Amino acid sequence: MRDEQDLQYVMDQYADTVTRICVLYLKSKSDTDDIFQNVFLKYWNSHAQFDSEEHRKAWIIRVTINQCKDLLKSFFRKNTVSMDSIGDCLEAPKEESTYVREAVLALPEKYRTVLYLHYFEGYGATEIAQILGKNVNTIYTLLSRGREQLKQRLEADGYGI
Amino acid sequence: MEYNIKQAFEGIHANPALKRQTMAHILSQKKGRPRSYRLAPVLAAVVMVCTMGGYAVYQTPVSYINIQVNPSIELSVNTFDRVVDVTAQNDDAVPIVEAVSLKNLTYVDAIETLSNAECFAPYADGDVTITVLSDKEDTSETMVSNIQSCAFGNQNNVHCTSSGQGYQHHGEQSGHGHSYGK
Repeated sequence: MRDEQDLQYVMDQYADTVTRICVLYLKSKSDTDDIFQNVFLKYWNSHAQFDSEEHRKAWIIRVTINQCKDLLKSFFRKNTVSMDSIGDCLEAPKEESTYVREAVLALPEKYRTVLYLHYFEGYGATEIAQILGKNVNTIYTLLSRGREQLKQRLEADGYGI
Repeated sequence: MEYNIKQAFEGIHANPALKRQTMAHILSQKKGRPRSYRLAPVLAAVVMVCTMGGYAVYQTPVSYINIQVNPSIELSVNTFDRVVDVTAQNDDAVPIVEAVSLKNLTYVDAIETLSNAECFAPYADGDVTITVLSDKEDTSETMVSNIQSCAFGNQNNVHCTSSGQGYQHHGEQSGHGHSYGK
Protein backbone atom coordinates (compact mmCIF):
# COMPACT_ATOMS: atom_id res chain seq x y z
CA MET A 1 0.00 0.00 0.00
CA ARG A 2 1.24 3.50 -0.83
CA ASP A 3 1.78 6.10 1.86
CA GLU A 4 0.76 9.74 2.06
CA GLN A 5 4.28 10.95 1.29
CA ASP A 6 4.40 8.91 -1.89
CA LEU A 7 1.01 10.24 -3.00
CA GLN A 8 2.05 13.83 -2.26
CA TYR A 9 5.23 13.35 -4.29
CA VAL A 10 3.36 11.94 -7.27
CA MET A 11 0.76 14.70 -7.00
CA ASP A 12 3.46 17.39 -6.99
CA GLN A 13 5.34 15.73 -9.81
CA TYR A 14 2.56 14.76 -12.20
CA ALA A 15 -0.52 16.87 -11.44
CA ASP A 16 0.31 19.22 -14.33
CA THR A 17 0.96 16.30 -16.71
CA VAL A 18 -2.41 14.75 -15.85
CA THR A 19 -4.14 18.11 -16.32
CA ARG A 20 -2.49 18.70 -19.70
CA ILE A 21 -3.55 15.28 -20.98
CA CYS A 22 -7.09 15.97 -19.76
CA VAL A 23 -7.02 19.23 -21.72
CA LEU A 24 -5.96 17.26 -24.82
CA TYR A 25 -8.98 15.00 -24.55
CA LEU A 26 -11.70 16.80 -22.62
CA LYS A 27 -13.38 20.14 -22.95
CA SER A 28 -15.16 20.29 -19.62
CA LYS A 29 -13.65 21.32 -16.30
CA SER A 30 -15.83 18.96 -14.30
CA ASP A 31 -14.74 16.03 -16.49
CA THR A 32 -11.12 17.06 -15.99
CA ASP A 33 -11.59 17.23 -12.23
CA ASP A 34 -13.19 13.77 -12.22
CA ILE A 35 -10.40 12.23 -14.28
CA PHE A 36 -7.75 14.00 -12.20
CA GLN A 37 -9.15 12.49 -8.99
CA ASN A 38 -9.63 9.07 -10.60
CA VAL A 39 -6.03 8.90 -11.83
CA PHE A 40 -4.55 9.61 -8.40
CA LEU A 41 -7.06 7.37 -6.67
CA LYS A 42 -6.10 4.61 -9.08
CA TYR A 43 -2.44 5.22 -8.28
CA TRP A 44 -3.23 5.12 -4.55
CA ASN A 45 -5.04 1.81 -4.84
CA SER A 46 -2.61 0.29 -7.34
CA HIS A 47 -0.05 -2.31 -6.30
CA ALA A 48 2.03 -1.63 -9.42
CA GLN A 49 5.79 -1.60 -8.80
CA PHE A 50 7.89 0.83 -10.80
CA ASP A 51 11.45 0.14 -11.96
CA SER A 52 12.19 3.83 -12.41
CA GLU A 53 10.68 7.29 -12.32
CA GLU A 54 10.19 7.10 -16.09
CA HIS A 55 8.23 3.90 -15.63
CA ARG A 56 6.00 5.60 -13.05
CA LYS A 57 5.47 8.61 -15.32
CA ALA A 58 4.53 6.38 -18.27
CA TRP A 59 2.06 4.54 -16.01
CA ILE A 60 0.43 7.81 -14.95
CA ILE A 61 0.18 9.01 -18.56
CA ARG A 62 -1.27 5.71 -19.78
CA VAL A 63 -3.86 5.61 -16.99
CA THR A 64 -4.85 9.22 -17.67
CA ILE A 65 -5.29 8.59 -21.39
CA ASN A 66 -7.32 5.44 -20.72
CA GLN A 67 -9.52 7.24 -18.20
CA CYS A 68 -10.18 10.06 -20.68
CA LYS A 69 -10.99 7.61 -23.49
CA ASP A 70 -13.32 5.64 -21.22
CA LEU A 71 -15.13 8.81 -20.25
CA LEU A 72 -15.53 9.88 -23.87
CA LYS A 73 -16.93 6.46 -24.72
CA SER A 74 -19.42 6.46 -21.88
CA PHE A 75 -23.09 6.74 -22.73
CA PHE A 76 -23.70 9.54 -20.24
CA ARG A 77 -20.86 11.68 -21.66
CA LYS A 78 -22.07 11.16 -25.23
CA ASN A 79 -25.58 12.26 -24.37
CA THR A 80 -24.95 15.28 -22.21
CA VAL A 81 -23.52 18.73 -22.82
CA SER A 82 -21.24 20.27 -20.24
CA MET A 83 -21.94 23.87 -19.23
CA ASP A 84 -18.49 24.65 -17.86
CA SER A 85 -15.25 25.12 -19.71
CA ILE A 86 -11.68 24.04 -19.31
CA GLY A 87 -10.54 27.67 -19.02
CA ASP A 88 -9.85 27.43 -15.28
CA CYS A 89 -6.82 25.25 -15.90
CA LEU A 90 -5.16 27.79 -18.11
CA GLU A 91 -2.97 30.68 -17.15
CA ALA A 92 -3.39 33.95 -19.02
CA PRO A 93 -1.22 32.84 -21.97
CA LYS A 94 0.82 34.63 -24.58
CA GLU A 95 -1.13 35.18 -27.75
CA GLU A 96 0.97 33.01 -30.03
CA SER A 97 0.98 30.05 -27.67
CA THR A 98 -2.80 30.29 -27.49
CA TYR A 99 -3.03 29.91 -31.25
CA VAL A 100 -0.65 26.97 -31.25
CA ARG A 101 -2.52 25.27 -28.43
CA GLU A 102 -5.86 25.81 -30.11
CA ALA A 103 -4.44 24.47 -33.37
CA VAL A 104 -3.12 21.35 -31.58
CA LEU A 105 -6.43 20.82 -29.78
CA ALA A 106 -8.30 21.19 -33.08
CA LEU A 107 -6.39 18.26 -34.56
CA PRO A 108 -7.95 14.79 -34.52
CA GLU A 109 -7.27 13.05 -31.20
CA LYS A 110 -4.82 10.51 -32.68
CA TYR A 111 -2.55 13.34 -33.91
CA ARG A 112 -2.71 15.67 -30.94
CA THR A 113 -1.85 12.91 -28.46
CA VAL A 114 1.28 11.80 -30.28
CA LEU A 115 2.37 15.39 -30.95
CA TYR A 116 1.94 16.24 -27.28
CA LEU A 117 3.80 13.12 -26.06
CA HIS A 118 6.62 13.68 -28.55
CA TYR A 119 7.13 17.43 -28.41
CA PHE A 120 6.08 18.25 -24.88
CA GLU A 121 6.88 15.13 -22.88
CA GLY A 122 9.88 14.27 -25.06
CA TYR A 123 9.01 10.63 -25.77
CA GLY A 124 10.37 8.81 -28.81
CA ALA A 125 8.17 6.84 -31.19
CA THR A 126 8.97 3.53 -29.47
CA GLU A 127 7.97 4.85 -26.04
CA ILE A 128 4.79 6.44 -27.42
CA ALA A 129 3.94 3.13 -29.09
CA GLN A 130 4.28 1.39 -25.72
CA ILE A 131 2.18 3.97 -23.87
CA LEU A 132 -0.60 3.95 -26.47
CA GLY A 133 -0.37 0.24 -27.27
CA LYS A 134 0.23 0.90 -30.97
CA ASN A 135 2.73 -0.11 -33.62
CA VAL A 136 5.90 2.01 -33.82
CA ASN A 137 5.44 2.59 -37.56
CA THR A 138 1.91 3.83 -36.88
CA ILE A 139 3.34 6.36 -34.44
CA TYR A 140 5.83 7.60 -37.06
CA THR A 141 2.98 8.01 -39.54
CA LEU A 142 0.78 9.80 -36.98
CA LEU A 143 3.64 12.13 -36.04
CA SER A 144 4.36 12.99 -39.65
CA ARG A 145 0.71 13.60 -40.57
CA GLY A 146 -0.02 15.43 -37.33
CA ARG A 147 2.95 17.73 -37.92
CA GLU A 148 1.79 18.42 -41.46
CA GLN A 149 -1.79 19.17 -40.41
CA LEU A 150 -0.66 21.44 -37.59
CA LYS A 151 1.60 23.34 -39.97
CA GLN A 152 -1.21 23.82 -42.45
CA ARG A 153 -3.60 25.10 -39.76
CA LEU A 154 -1.12 27.58 -38.35
CA GLU A 155 -0.12 28.82 -41.82
CA ALA A 156 -3.75 29.29 -42.71
CA ASP A 157 -4.08 31.49 -39.60
CA GLY A 158 -0.96 33.41 -40.52
CA TYR A 159 1.36 31.74 -38.02
CA GLY A 160 4.36 29.89 -39.41
CA ILE A 161 5.90 27.17 -37.21
CA MET B 1 7.85 23.12 -33.57
CA GLU B 2 8.99 21.59 -30.30
CA TYR B 3 9.47 25.04 -28.78
CA ASN B 4 6.05 26.24 -29.94
CA ILE B 5 4.22 23.19 -28.59
CA LYS B 6 6.10 23.42 -25.29
CA GLN B 7 5.12 27.07 -25.02
CA ALA B 8 1.54 26.20 -25.86
CA PHE B 9 1.13 23.63 -23.06
CA GLU B 10 3.41 25.10 -20.42
CA GLY B 11 0.66 27.49 -19.38
CA ILE B 12 -1.54 24.58 -18.30
CA HIS B 13 -1.27 23.77 -14.61
CA ALA B 14 -3.29 21.74 -12.19
CA ASN B 15 -5.62 23.76 -10.05
CA PRO B 16 -4.06 23.90 -6.52
CA ALA B 17 -7.52 23.61 -4.96
CA LEU B 18 -8.17 20.47 -6.99
CA LYS B 19 -4.85 19.02 -5.81
CA ARG B 20 -5.78 19.70 -2.19
CA GLN B 21 -9.27 18.28 -2.64
CA THR B 22 -7.92 15.17 -4.34
CA MET B 23 -5.38 14.57 -1.57
CA ALA B 24 -8.06 15.05 1.08
CA HIS B 25 -10.49 12.79 -0.77
CA ILE B 26 -7.98 9.98 -1.20
CA LEU B 27 -6.66 10.21 2.35
CA SER B 28 -10.19 10.18 3.75
CA GLN B 29 -10.62 6.88 1.91
CA LYS B 30 -7.44 5.71 3.60
CA LYS B 31 -8.99 6.46 6.98
CA GLY B 32 -12.12 4.65 5.96
CA ARG B 33 -10.24 1.70 4.61
CA PRO B 34 -9.27 0.09 7.93
CA ARG B 35 -12.98 -0.22 8.74
CA SER B 36 -13.10 -3.25 6.48
CA TYR B 37 -9.80 -4.48 7.88
CA ARG B 38 -11.14 -4.05 11.42
CA LEU B 39 -14.01 -6.31 10.50
CA ALA B 40 -11.69 -8.92 9.05
CA PRO B 41 -10.57 -10.44 12.39
CA VAL B 42 -14.17 -10.45 13.60
CA LEU B 43 -15.28 -12.24 10.47
CA ALA B 44 -12.36 -14.63 10.74
CA ALA B 45 -13.30 -15.34 14.37
CA VAL B 46 -16.94 -15.96 13.40
CA VAL B 47 -15.87 -18.31 10.63
CA MET B 48 -13.49 -20.10 13.00
CA VAL B 49 -16.11 -20.46 15.73
CA CYS B 50 -18.65 -21.71 13.20
CA THR B 51 -16.13 -24.15 11.75
CA MET B 52 -15.02 -25.41 15.17
CA GLY B 53 -18.60 -25.53 16.40
CA GLY B 54 -19.68 -27.41 13.31
CA TYR B 55 -16.76 -29.80 13.71
CA ALA B 56 -17.58 -30.35 17.39
CA VAL B 57 -21.24 -31.04 16.57
CA TYR B 58 -20.19 -33.37 13.78
CA GLN B 59 -17.82 -35.29 16.06
CA THR B 60 -20.29 -35.64 18.93
CA PRO B 61 -22.08 -39.00 18.96
CA VAL B 62 -25.77 -38.91 19.79
CA SER B 63 -26.51 -42.59 19.13
CA TYR B 64 -24.69 -45.89 19.40
CA ILE B 65 -25.14 -49.08 17.45
CA ASN B 66 -23.83 -52.29 18.90
CA ILE B 67 -23.25 -55.13 16.47
CA GLN B 68 -22.97 -58.36 18.39
CA VAL B 69 -21.89 -61.59 16.72
CA ASN B 70 -18.97 -62.94 18.58
CA PRO B 71 -16.86 -60.04 17.64
CA SER B 72 -18.66 -57.10 19.14
CA ILE B 73 -18.39 -53.74 17.44
CA GLU B 74 -19.85 -50.43 18.45
CA LEU B 75 -20.55 -47.60 16.03
CA SER B 76 -20.86 -44.07 17.43
CA VAL B 77 -23.27 -42.08 15.26
CA ASN B 78 -23.61 -38.27 15.15
CA THR B 79 -26.69 -36.13 14.62
CA PHE B 80 -26.17 -36.32 10.84
CA ASP B 81 -26.44 -40.14 10.92
CA ARG B 82 -22.72 -40.47 10.19
CA VAL B 83 -20.38 -42.86 11.98
CA VAL B 84 -17.81 -40.83 13.91
CA ASP B 85 -16.16 -43.64 15.86
CA VAL B 86 -15.81 -47.41 15.64
CA THR B 87 -14.90 -49.35 18.78
CA ALA B 88 -13.94 -52.97 19.15
CA GLN B 89 -15.77 -54.31 22.22
CA ASN B 90 -13.67 -57.48 22.44
CA ASP B 91 -10.42 -58.90 21.08
CA ASP B 92 -12.06 -60.68 18.14
CA ALA B 93 -13.40 -57.38 16.87
CA VAL B 94 -10.02 -55.64 16.81
CA PRO B 95 -8.83 -57.01 13.41
CA ILE B 96 -12.19 -56.20 11.85
CA VAL B 97 -12.19 -52.61 13.12
CA GLU B 98 -8.64 -52.20 11.86
CA ALA B 99 -9.38 -53.71 8.45
CA VAL B 100 -12.64 -51.96 7.55
CA SER B 101 -13.02 -48.21 7.30
CA LEU B 102 -16.47 -47.19 8.48
CA LYS B 103 -15.94 -43.64 9.66
CA ASN B 104 -17.97 -40.86 8.04
CA LEU B 105 -20.30 -43.36 6.34
CA THR B 106 -23.99 -43.26 7.19
CA TYR B 107 -24.77 -45.95 9.75
CA VAL B 108 -26.74 -47.97 7.17
CA ASP B 109 -23.83 -47.83 4.68
CA ALA B 110 -21.43 -48.68 7.51
CA ILE B 111 -23.41 -51.81 8.44
CA GLU B 112 -23.63 -52.85 4.77
CA THR B 113 -19.89 -52.24 4.29
CA LEU B 114 -19.11 -54.24 7.42
CA SER B 115 -21.33 -57.16 6.40
CA ASN B 116 -19.68 -57.29 2.95
CA ALA B 117 -16.14 -57.13 4.34
CA GLU B 118 -14.02 -60.23 3.80
CA CYS B 119 -12.85 -60.31 7.43
CA PHE B 120 -16.49 -60.31 8.61
CA ALA B 121 -17.52 -63.14 6.29
CA PRO B 122 -16.81 -66.01 8.80
CA TYR B 123 -19.33 -64.44 11.22
CA ALA B 124 -21.97 -63.24 8.75
CA ASP B 125 -24.01 -66.45 8.84
CA GLY B 126 -24.20 -66.69 12.63
CA ASP B 127 -26.75 -64.94 14.81
CA VAL B 128 -26.26 -61.19 14.69
CA THR B 129 -27.80 -58.86 17.22
CA ILE B 130 -27.85 -55.20 16.45
CA THR B 131 -28.85 -52.93 19.31
CA VAL B 132 -29.47 -49.22 18.96
CA LEU B 133 -29.08 -46.77 21.82
CA SER B 134 -30.11 -43.19 21.31
CA ASP B 135 -31.08 -40.16 23.37
CA LYS B 136 -34.52 -40.07 21.75
CA GLU B 137 -36.93 -42.95 21.44
CA ASP B 138 -38.11 -41.75 18.01
CA THR B 139 -34.55 -41.68 16.74
CA SER B 140 -33.93 -45.22 18.03
CA GLU B 141 -37.02 -46.52 16.29
CA THR B 142 -36.15 -44.77 13.02
CA MET B 143 -32.63 -46.17 13.15
CA VAL B 144 -33.89 -49.70 13.89
CA SER B 145 -36.32 -49.39 11.00
CA ASN B 146 -33.61 -48.17 8.61
CA ILE B 147 -31.23 -50.96 9.63
CA GLN B 148 -33.96 -53.58 9.23
CA SER B 149 -34.68 -52.24 5.73
CA CYS B 150 -31.14 -52.69 4.50
CA ALA B 151 -30.00 -55.92 2.83
CA PHE B 152 -27.99 -57.15 5.81
CA GLY B 153 -30.54 -56.12 8.43
CA ASN B 154 -33.27 -57.90 6.50
CA GLN B 155 -31.62 -61.33 6.81
CA ASN B 156 -33.27 -63.94 9.08
CA ASN B 157 -30.20 -64.33 11.28
CA VAL B 158 -30.01 -60.59 12.02
CA HIS B 159 -32.07 -59.19 14.89
CA CYS B 160 -32.23 -55.47 15.34
CA THR B 161 -33.75 -53.79 18.37
CA SER B 162 -33.70 -50.61 20.32
CA SER B 163 -32.02 -51.01 23.70
CA GLY B 164 -34.98 -49.43 25.46
CA GLN B 165 -32.58 -47.56 27.70
CA GLY B 166 -31.74 -43.91 27.64
CA TYR B 167 -28.68 -42.52 25.92
CA GLN B 168 -27.16 -41.65 29.31
CA HIS B 169 -26.79 -45.38 30.11
CA HIS B 170 -24.18 -45.75 27.36
CA GLY B 171 -21.32 -44.70 29.64
CA GLU B 172 -22.55 -46.93 32.49
CA GLN B 173 -22.77 -49.97 30.26
CA SER B 174 -19.29 -49.45 28.90
CA GLY B 175 -18.04 -48.84 32.40
CA HIS B 176 -19.24 -52.29 33.47
CA GLY B 177 -17.09 -53.87 30.78
CA HIS B 178 -19.92 -55.19 28.64
CA SER B 179 -22.01 -53.62 25.97
CA TYR B 180 -25.69 -52.75 26.20
CA GLY B 181 -26.30 -55.27 23.42
CA LYS B 182 -25.83 -58.07 25.91
